[in-house]
Amino acid sequence: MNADLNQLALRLDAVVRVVPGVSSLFSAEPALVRSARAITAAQPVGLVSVAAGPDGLSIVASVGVSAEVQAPTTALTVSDAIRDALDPAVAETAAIHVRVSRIAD
Amino acid sequence: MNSDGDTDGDTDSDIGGSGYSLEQLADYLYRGRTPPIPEIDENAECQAMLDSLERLGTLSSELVSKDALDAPGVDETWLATLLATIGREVRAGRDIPYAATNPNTRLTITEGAIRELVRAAGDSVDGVLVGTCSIEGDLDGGGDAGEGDVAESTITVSLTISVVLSAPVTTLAQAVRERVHSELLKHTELHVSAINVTVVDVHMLTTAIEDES
Amino acid sequence: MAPDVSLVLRFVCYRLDADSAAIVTVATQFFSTLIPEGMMGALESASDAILAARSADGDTLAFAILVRRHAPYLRAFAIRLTGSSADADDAVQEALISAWGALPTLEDFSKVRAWLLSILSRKATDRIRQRKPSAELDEERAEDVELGPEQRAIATSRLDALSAVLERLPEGQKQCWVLKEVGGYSYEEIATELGMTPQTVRGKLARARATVVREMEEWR
Repeated sequence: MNADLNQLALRLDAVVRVVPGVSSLFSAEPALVRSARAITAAQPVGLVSVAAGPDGLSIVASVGVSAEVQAPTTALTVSDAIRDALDPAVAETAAIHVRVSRIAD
Repeated sequence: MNSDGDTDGDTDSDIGGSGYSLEQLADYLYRGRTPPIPEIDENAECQAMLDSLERLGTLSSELVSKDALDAPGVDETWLATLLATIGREVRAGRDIPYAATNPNTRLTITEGAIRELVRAAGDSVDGVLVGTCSIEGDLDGGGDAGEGDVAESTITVSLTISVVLSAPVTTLAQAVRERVHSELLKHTELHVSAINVTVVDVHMLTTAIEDES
Repeated sequence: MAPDVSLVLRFVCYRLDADSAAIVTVATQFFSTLIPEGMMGALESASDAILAARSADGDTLAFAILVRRHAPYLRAFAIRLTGSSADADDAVQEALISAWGALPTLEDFSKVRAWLLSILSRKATDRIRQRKPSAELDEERAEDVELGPEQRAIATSRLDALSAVLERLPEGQKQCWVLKEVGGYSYEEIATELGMTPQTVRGKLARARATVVREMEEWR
């Protein structure tokens, strides 16, 4: 992930964290990949993963959600929040994957 | 203590004139004293030696148990570090899809999250503790996530539970089934065809009873 | 059934008492998984089988209780085996981490303690082998041990006496003895663990046995 994409990832971290029903945010990448990347990166590494592909951005967010809200609803809200936070130019083609990794308050 | 001198240093070769060495006696002991060897079984010195070897084995285990008892309790900092280390390796399992209307959006829940959900639902029944939890069936639903038409997947959930006998087992099992089902309905889009509950253990809240004041 | 609130509270206070921010963080993280009151008490008194099953499914809280329950014995075993508490601590840590990874493959969850012990034996003997690659040869020279009268006099109980005898055994003999008598392994298994031939193991055990029997004579 280059610096711009990481910048975006950090911004999306903040977006996702405040979505109602989201109780925690996990690294979207396996721990090993993430720690390897954290060693080479000069700045904090985002938990949301952002990659650029030929068809547009590919974004993955792994979240823990509150049991109070239906998990599929929260997942959808998260994906909408991410899409809304992107530049309109890239928002349309961006592939967004929201993974619910945990349901706990 | 009666030491007759001639067993000293000479234990290897022949115990009590039986023709069996210490090592052979030990092997006999490790085999569970079978098949029976009359020369050993009918020889008092051999029997004394076998008992002694057996005691030394038991004593060795007791020694480790005593070390464990005498040792200060588990170091909390060490335990915290250990748990932080293992916590990084999550048992996420497969990604199970939710329906999504935008073809560029993929929504999923991990198998690990569902298991945790099921476990918590079962645990929430008073007197029940969930052991294993497995989810079988077509978790991918045969639907291509992102196409917007995820077919309802039919799955079976199997749980083992341990119970405190506070109510009839069938009542407890039924309560577990209902809670698990309602949680799965709330947080997943899986179609649950069966929830199998097996009672594997009856546990006692011994510490809790002692603590009551 | 009254939920066992007191036990939960006691546990929380205990953890918060320890003055380390790291512990508090981990504890908080744990308690976020905590389901109703009484859960902790129920889990703490749950059988090994239930705790191991839950650990296999990814329940770190259950694993923590399992570790708390068995770590002292595992550590004591490793110290007796390696003769070093530093090696023992490392071996226990490694064993528990690899056990966490392998738990889903464990077939009989009720045998988790013996299973942990076998993983630990491997990790501990790995350390022994790394520590002294060629020590086995040197060791053959001083294979027989005799305790002086002053060493015998120190022991005030049978356990103390045995402890002293085991401490004085040459390392290879002591390792074989501990693996055999405490671990319950066969000659072949011990040979594999220690990288020896079964014949060597047999010889070392024979010598260890002769020494232990002789030195423990008066405690019969």
